[in-house]
Amino acid sequence: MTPAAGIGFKAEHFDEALASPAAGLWFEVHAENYMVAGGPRLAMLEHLRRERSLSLHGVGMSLAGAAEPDADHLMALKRLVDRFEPALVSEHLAWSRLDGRCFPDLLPVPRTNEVLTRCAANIGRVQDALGRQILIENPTHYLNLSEHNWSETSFLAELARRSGCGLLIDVNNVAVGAHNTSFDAVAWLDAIPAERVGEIHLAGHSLDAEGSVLIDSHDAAVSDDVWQLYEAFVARIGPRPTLIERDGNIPPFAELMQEHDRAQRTLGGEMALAA
Amino acid sequence: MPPDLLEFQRDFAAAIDRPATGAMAVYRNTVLHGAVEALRANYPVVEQLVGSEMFAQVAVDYATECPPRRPVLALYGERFADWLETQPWIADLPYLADVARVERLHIECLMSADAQPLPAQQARAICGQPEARLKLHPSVRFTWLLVPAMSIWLAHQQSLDAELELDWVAEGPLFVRPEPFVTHALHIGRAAHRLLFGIRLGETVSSAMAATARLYPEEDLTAVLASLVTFGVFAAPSTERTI
Repeated sequence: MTPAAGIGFKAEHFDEALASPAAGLWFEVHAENYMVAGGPRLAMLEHLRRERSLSLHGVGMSLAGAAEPDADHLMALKRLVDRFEPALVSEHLAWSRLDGRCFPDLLPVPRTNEVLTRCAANIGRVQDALGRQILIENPTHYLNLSEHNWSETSFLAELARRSGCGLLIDVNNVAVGAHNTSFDAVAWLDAIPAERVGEIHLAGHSLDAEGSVLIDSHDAAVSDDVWQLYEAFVARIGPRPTLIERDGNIPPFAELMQEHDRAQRTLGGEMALAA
Repeated sequence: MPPDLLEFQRDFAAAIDRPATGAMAVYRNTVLHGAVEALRANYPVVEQLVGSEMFAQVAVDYATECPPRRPVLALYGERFADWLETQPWIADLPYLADVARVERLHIECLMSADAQPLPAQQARAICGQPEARLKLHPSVRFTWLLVPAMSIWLAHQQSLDAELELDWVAEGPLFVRPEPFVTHALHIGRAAHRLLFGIRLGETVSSAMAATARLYPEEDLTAVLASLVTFGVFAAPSTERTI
């Protein structure tokens, strides 16, 4: 995929998404929302893929859990990948399934050798089933777990080295985690190996009711500090497909496109420098 | 010695299930919020009937008792109507569980497999044969309810500017989606319900028609069947598509 900017697709933006003239514009969807037998959701995605590149972003594979990926869920993802031939497929360094119950969230794990081994094996199973590389996204952090043996950046790099996966770096997750668990976002981004990064996510966040925890809420515009981190990150690693994510307080399509255009200018500037 | 991963996950899941503050509250809220929003998306008329504040409380109770079993939330809330019926406060709203049943049929219809509907001409040709059977379109969902829940549901598809006046009678909802973007939401009478029920069970068209005629001799069943064909209730042979 050309390293252009994309936006998260929302059904209410369907007509404008199809009609948009923006060069290189691509769309990402949560894979789980399309794991249905038929109907308008899949029909919309069929229309969209004829005009634009797609990215399938999974939120339910529970790759960092103790269990192997659920066979039915993996087959459902494979059917989507085979049908829609997305340019990018991604998942998370998180777990969301345990003992038959599913948690609609991305839950954290201690970065131990055991987790590294299991998670690399689970990513391998997914990549083998899909017949392609997937990207793994860094999670948001709210808690300082005491059991980590690895720094997050070396854990992600090692996970990519062992499994052959790429990395999806969510700059907002870095900013939110840096605030909540007191690490240096700039140093974190500097430690990510450039050659592994296949996609970047940008989103907005908000403060919780008590005013102390930053929430990765995806319900606001991308904040200035996240833009600054992003621009510095792209300046170092070069242009990468960059997604504007928005899942709550969905604004008009044109408003999302303003953020898209800002990311596109950053990418274009870097491409011009590289040329 | 680092903790065992499975043990860590079980401890974490138990912590999510307890009221919490600070960071754990963020996880707890997100987990509940995901299920509540999925339920809200699938039961919008129930939400209108009870109000969004009460719906949120009800949804949290449901999500606590019946948490998601799959990562796909598009069809979450399978047991919501039956669960509503067991709630002590439901006595004041005797139609609510049936409205939830109607909403369930609607959402299942929307997410079901695509297929070509059977064209009228082909339907006539098939029905002319003595042992002919018809296959329901994969999106067809119907039932029979003792309260006018379908009328309530239909009234809530437009903005309500007047008090709803209902005939308090039994009626059947029928949903069918002959094309990806075309969904029909229909009332059916007892005769259409009996006919569809028989066809779903695999009765031949002629035996379903005969049985229905014995029960409802006053109905014009040829017209009922023709109308079902027009709405795309039957599938053309072997056109079902699932991904």
